[in-house]
Formats: sequence, C-alpha cells, structure tokens
Amino acid sequence: MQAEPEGTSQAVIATDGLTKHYGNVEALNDLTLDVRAGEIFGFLGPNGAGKSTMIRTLLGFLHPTRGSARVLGLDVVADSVEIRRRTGYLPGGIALYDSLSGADALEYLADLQDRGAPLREELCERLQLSKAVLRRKVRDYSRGMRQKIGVIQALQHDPELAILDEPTEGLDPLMQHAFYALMDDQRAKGRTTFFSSHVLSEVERICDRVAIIRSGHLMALQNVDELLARRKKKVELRWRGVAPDLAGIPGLADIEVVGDRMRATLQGDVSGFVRAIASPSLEDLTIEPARLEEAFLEYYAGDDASEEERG
Amino acid sequence: MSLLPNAWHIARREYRQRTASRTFVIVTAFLAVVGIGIALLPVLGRLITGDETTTVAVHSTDVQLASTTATTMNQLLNADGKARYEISAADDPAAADADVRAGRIDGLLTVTRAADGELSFEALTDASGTDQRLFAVRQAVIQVNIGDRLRRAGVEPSEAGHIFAETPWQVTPLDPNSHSLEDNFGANYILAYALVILTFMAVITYGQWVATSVAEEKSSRVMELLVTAATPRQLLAGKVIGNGAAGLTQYVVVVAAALVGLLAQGAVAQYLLGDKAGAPLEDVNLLVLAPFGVFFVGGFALYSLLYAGLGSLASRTEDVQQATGPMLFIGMGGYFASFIALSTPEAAWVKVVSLIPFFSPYMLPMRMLISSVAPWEWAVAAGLMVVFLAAALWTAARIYSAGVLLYGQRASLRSVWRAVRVDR
Repeated sequence: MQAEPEGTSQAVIATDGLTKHYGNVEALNDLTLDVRAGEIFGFLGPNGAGKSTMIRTLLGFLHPTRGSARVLGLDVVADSVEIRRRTGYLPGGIALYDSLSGADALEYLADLQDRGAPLREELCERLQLSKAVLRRKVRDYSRGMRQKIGVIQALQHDPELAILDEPTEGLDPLMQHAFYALMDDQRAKGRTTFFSSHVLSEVERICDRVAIIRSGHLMALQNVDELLARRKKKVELRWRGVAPDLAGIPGLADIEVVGDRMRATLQGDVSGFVRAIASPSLEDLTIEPARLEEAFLEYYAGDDASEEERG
Repeated sequence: MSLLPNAWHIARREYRQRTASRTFVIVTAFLAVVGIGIALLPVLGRLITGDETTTVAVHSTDVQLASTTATTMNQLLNADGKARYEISAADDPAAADADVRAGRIDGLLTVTRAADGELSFEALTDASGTDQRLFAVRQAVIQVNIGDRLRRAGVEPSEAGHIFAETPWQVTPLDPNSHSLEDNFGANYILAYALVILTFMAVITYGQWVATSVAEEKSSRVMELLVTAATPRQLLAGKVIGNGAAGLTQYVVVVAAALVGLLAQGAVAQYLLGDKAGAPLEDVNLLVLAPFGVFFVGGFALYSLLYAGLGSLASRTEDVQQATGPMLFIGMGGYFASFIALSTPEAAWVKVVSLIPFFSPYMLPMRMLISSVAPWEWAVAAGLMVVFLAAALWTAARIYSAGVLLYGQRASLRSVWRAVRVDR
C-alpha cells in the first residue's frame, strides 16, 4: 500500500482495516484510507469491486465484519444516524416515488432532512431541470432526469460531506460537464465529496485523489496527478509507406508493427511523442484512453503477484 | 432524534398516496355499498319473499278433533297478534296432500287418535329441520296434545289455563355487572360476534397494506434515499400512522355505512313493506363501543408495526405473504380463541388471554358485551398494550433498519434474529 503522508487538514472519512464479508463473499478486505476535508475523492473500481458496499458501510447501512470507520469524526456503527443527517447521499441506481412530481420529491426529501434547500434553485438551473419538467411526475422521467433529481437532492441542503455513488451514470456528456463544474464549486466552497465511479477519465478530470479498488482490495491510493503520469495509453498509427523507427521515443513501449499499422503503449508526456511522429506520411492517429482494468494491471504489474490472482 | 416532525411528513405522504389512488376510492365505495346491503339484508329478504302467512291444513277422520286442533293452534301461534299462521281444518286429505305438493299450502297435519285414546301427529311439508315455523308448529302441537291428555284425565278446561301459565323463574348472577343475563343479551351477542370478525379483518387487511408498502419501497430502492434523510424509527412510525390512518378511513366509512343501514332498517322496512320492524341496535348502548375503539386502535398499531418490520424482510412484494406469515398466525389465533370464548366468557383462560395485547382488541370488547370486565382488568390490559407497543416499535425498527437493506435474501428466522440483535 502506498503510505500517504498525514495531511494538515482533518480526515473527514477515515477507515482502518475495514472488512465486510457476506457469508463467504469478501466484499471489502482490509481497506484503510482517509479523505481529507475539502477534497474531492474518487473511489474507482469496476462493477462489483465493492464500491457500493463501501459506501453503504460508511453510511451505517451495513456493519463492518472487522475494522472500523469514522465519518465526520463519528463512528459508522454507533453514530450512523448522525452521520446520515449531516451527509448528502446519492445512491447508485436511484429510485424515487413514481407518483410524486420532481419538485414534490425534492421538497419531500428536504422536509425530511430538515435543513431547508438553499441550493435547490441554483442546482436545478445548472442541471437544466426546468420548472415545467419539475412539475411532471417522476414516472414520466428519463433515466437522466431521475439522476439529476438524485444529484440535486444530495446537494440541495448544502451538506458538509456528499457521498455520491456513480453520480454521472445516465447523464449526457453536456450534463456530465455541468456536474464536473458543480464539483469544482464544491471544492472551492471547501465541501468534501466522496464519489465512486468506473470511468477513469472523469476521476482524472475532477478528483484530487483517487482510491482504486478491485475485488474488495485497495489497489492504490494516489494523487490524480501521479496516477496520470504513470498511466499508459494505447496508440495506433497508420503510415503511407514504411513506418519510421520510433523505438527511441521516451515512454513508448510494446511496439508492434503489422503492415502499415503500428500499435504501441505510451506512458507520460505525449508532446515528445507527437513531435517525433509529425510527418507528412502519417495517415491516421488514435490515442485511446487506457481502460480501467488495464490501468490497475499496469499500476500493479510489479507488485505482489498474490494480489493479481484475485480475479 | 425525535419522531416528529419527520414521522408526520412521512405519514402525510403515505396517507395521500394511499387515499388518492383510484383503487382505494373504488374499493371503499364498493365495500360501503356492500356494508349497507348486508345491514338491510333482513328487510330485503322480506321484500323479496313477501310477508308470508304460513298455511297449514289439519285433517283427521274425527272432524271435531280436526277443527278443535286447528282452533287451538291458531290461538297459540298467533298469540303475538301478527296473524302469521293460518291453520284450518281440511275435509279432503287427498286434496290437501295435493295442495302441499303443489306449494299452494305449507303443510298438512294429520291427527290420529289411537285405540288407547293417545293422539299422534304427522306433518307433510318441505320445510327443513331448522325451519323456525316447523319448530313453532311442533311447540303448538305439544300443547294441544298435553291439553288433550289433561282433558282425558278429567282436568277441567278452566284449570288447564292455570296449568299452562308461566312459571316464575329468576337467576341471580354471581357477578352483578355481568351482561350475560340481560334482556338484550341476544343483540349484544351478535354485536360481539360482529366486532370479532371486523377486528380480525381490519388487523390482517391493513397490516398487509403496511407490509406491502414497506416491501414496495425496498424493492424499488426508494428506501435507500429515505433512510438517509429520516431515521428508521421515523420511517416506521410514519408508515404505520399513514397507512393505518388510510385503513381506518376506509374502515370507518364502511362500518358507518353499515351502521346507518342497521339504524335505518325500521324506516326502510316501513317504507318498503309498510310495517315497522324493530331496528336491531335499538337495545344496544353504543357507548360501549368507546373502549372498543381505544383497544382497536392499540391492537391495530401493534399488528401494523410488526407487519411493517416483517414486511421489510421481503425483497419482493411477492414474498410479503411469506414474511408476514407469523402475524396471520397470531391474528387467526385470537380470532378462533374469541369464537371459543363466546360460549364460555367466564372461563379462567379467557380472562387471562383477553388481557394479552395481541388478543385484547378481540376479547375485551367481547367479554364486555356478553359478560363483564373489571376496572382493574381494563387497566392491566391497557398497561400491557402500552408496553407491547413500545416493545413492538423497538423490535420492528430494528428489523426494519436491518431488513430494508438485506437485498435478495430470504427471510429466515436466523436473519430476523440477527437483525434484531444488531443495533443501528
């Protein structure tokens, strides 16, 4: 595990050897991490990695089999009611009462949270939920509209901590960017956000730090900048004529030439690579973001092999 | 955190959703009509069959015997002055026989005097063994026969009247408060019977509503959002109050409709049939229903709380029946115990069981109506009810807060036990 230096700011979420087993299924295994006040923390992993289990444990819906966790300085087992009261939560695959209108659903949840909804109007505007849409019943909503309501209800009462389970699921690219902008504002206001995702690019875009989880194990806990630097991208090039020798370019590896095509992986800075391939005979260039699963493998290629055996 | 105001918000939403649904409105209206219909059934029955006179022909080879028998029976059977029976002597037994078979008259009574002077009677009719009219005719025949024996034994007819006079008879009840010997016992008995059935139906039906509503939220996963905004205790209390109030609304509408029907029976009978039948609730003091109301609401809340807790163990609405099975079992237990207790309201076991909160909503009002309940028994039962309600809220909240997140798991005894042990 990467040893993180203790930050000066107090930990908003701190887990210590957190473990959750369902019978024989080990959903979480010995997870130790901390989320600092005011940061946006990405919790990254493929489906079934244990992301939702982690979130449910943090909110006190599930009890750890071993280990402990504190949220806002409160114990997740003993003080879960107080934790939930002070947290905004977006569950994964959100469901709402079909018979309520969007506006009524938001009002109802705000009533229950009993904190008012100072940010509701602004959030609705930024996520482009018009008054007309809000008046319609939730049963007529698309997946994306429901998700917007979910994001708004989690943030409308301006909680000090927001825990969001895959918040951009179902949002179109434009709305995803509106959401990223919301996250930037949260950071600027000093609010803490913990959010899970299986999309590496969005974690890169908005998070300060990221934890990567796989089969319940913490694979990495990193600053996003560091992760970016180590990530390998797939590149594919097509040439007219004979391919030039690119072996000397820094960061380029696993070169494979088939006819007029060349495939390789690229790590780190792309500018050197782009300069080196600049040539009139270059016909096509694709740089494909590394898929999450591969990012894990890359990251841990040199690590203890026993970790990798867990599929 | 305190229950209010969140429990109130939740209850209000539940109540609105439930009562605004078309199903609720239609079913309530339908049941109200059925309630009135059942209440007016006796009047409607008379309207359809008409105010019948029962006609019986009496035949004997001894013409004199036939006519005196007919006269005596007419007097005995029409003693109430309503002239419901028409007994006449028939000369031609074959014609009378044909009349009975054709349905023109209700019966043919053949009287035969044997050689030793004893009378024997033979009735030809299609009336069933439980027919009240056949029973009345038989009672009259017995009196005719005894009168005949007295006459043959030489007793003067003037003395015979004295012999048949009413016998003074009085019972002093051990318990002076008991209703079991009062004149309106019959009406009270029927009311007790009705209360047991209505309580059972309400507790089971509306408990099921609560359980289904919980399971629906869980299967649609709205629950996860709610349980973040409100505490399990608030959610549970809100659900029970909201759904319970909706159930009570329907219940009160239906029972009120039936009561109006019962109270209007006399007026309706007068309007439709031109005579005044006594309203069946005339003899019952409706004030006795006040303690019933208190215990009904208490029992209703008790069952609903546990239904909500158990309902939360079902992952799909189809599993609700199975998960809430124990409640049906307890409810049925109280139901059957009440029916056995109706005939032995003074038995020691009835007194003990009627204080237990799961059964007191059935059995206390029943005992109150047909026997008596001491003030200390009311106090003990009410105290136990409060204790059980608190325990049920605590237990149900634990099962609920664990159950709402146990996705896809079968409700087993073990999972319930684990859920109750774990504090959330």
